[in-house]
Amino acid sequence: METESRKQSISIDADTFTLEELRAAVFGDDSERLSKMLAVQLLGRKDYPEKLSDLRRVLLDEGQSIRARHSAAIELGRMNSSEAAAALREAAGIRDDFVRSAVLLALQPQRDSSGTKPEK
Amino acid sequence: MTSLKRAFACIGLEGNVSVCSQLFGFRRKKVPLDPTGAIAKVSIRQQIQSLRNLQFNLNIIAVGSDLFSDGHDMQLDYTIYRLRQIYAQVGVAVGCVQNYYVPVAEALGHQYIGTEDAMKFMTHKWRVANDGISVFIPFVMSIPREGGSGTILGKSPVGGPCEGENTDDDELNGSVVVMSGDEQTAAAIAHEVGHYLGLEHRDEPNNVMFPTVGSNPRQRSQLNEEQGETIRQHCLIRAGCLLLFS
Repeated sequence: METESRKQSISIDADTFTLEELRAAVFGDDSERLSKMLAVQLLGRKDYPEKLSDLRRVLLDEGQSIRARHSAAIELGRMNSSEAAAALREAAGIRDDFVRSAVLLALQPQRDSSGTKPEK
Repeated sequence: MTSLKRAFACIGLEGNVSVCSQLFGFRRKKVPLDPTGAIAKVSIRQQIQSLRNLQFNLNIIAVGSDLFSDGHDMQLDYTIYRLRQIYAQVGVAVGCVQNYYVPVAEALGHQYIGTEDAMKFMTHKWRVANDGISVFIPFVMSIPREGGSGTILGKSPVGGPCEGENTDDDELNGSVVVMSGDEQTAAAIAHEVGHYLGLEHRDEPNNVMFPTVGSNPRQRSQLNEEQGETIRQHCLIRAGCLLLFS
């Protein structure tokens, strides 16, 4: 079979869930519907007043999974605001290597909208 | 009844074979829980009988594997369980499932995927050179969908490369899927394997190839005969095993 040079993806839309559902998935008991990491990422796609404080809360909460905290850092970086940068700087001393790597990545100036570049 | 050894040999397993981890491909060496609360049931006899059908093999490559928890492994095991059910609809079996592990120390930072370039790199760096479809699972992936408020759960080449072939560096050389919850992960891997096997997106929300995951991903589990015909033409589809049953 000839290899085609096309690719297609599958995605999930933030509008699939209400803000309340996503916040419950992140801050409530373990959700059966979606992972906390995905809920954090979808909160990052929503526009609402408490977004920065929600993401900061996840990032700093050692009780959250490192996947959720990593995603919170990346989403704060994507907000591209001085308040979000301040929240990230506040978290720069986080002990977990994986989460801290996301904080440092999110603080990089002129990063593209998606995050890191691959090492080749 | 056919000998287990003969069935194992047909899918490339030799020596002492673990039924759970090698015949079924379960990383945790036990049957996963079904998140709906139903008891997940597997049958050795049914699995071996299914190997008489056309089939594809899978390589599941966990990147940043030392970060994966038991719960993540169970998500992947549940996915394999669901994948068998979904592809059985079109008479195609999931044959040998082999698990590969890329620890953080060797992952070159790709335990996190934030760009499509990073996805491409991953699929070239760690693609397994055998006749299986390589499905890469980064520990975290976060790529916003262009032109919307969504996030990408997985991506694949449509009609992926055959055994011994590689795509250009600028293309995906395998499927990439992030773990995003039991049903979401199962839906996303079933979808991306479908793309690899040549399937395009479909408009029917209950079809595996619908392009977005809704709030009830378990519903999107259908494949039709036309899609089955496309799948059966792919170069990584293997002939069924010649097994006799009494």
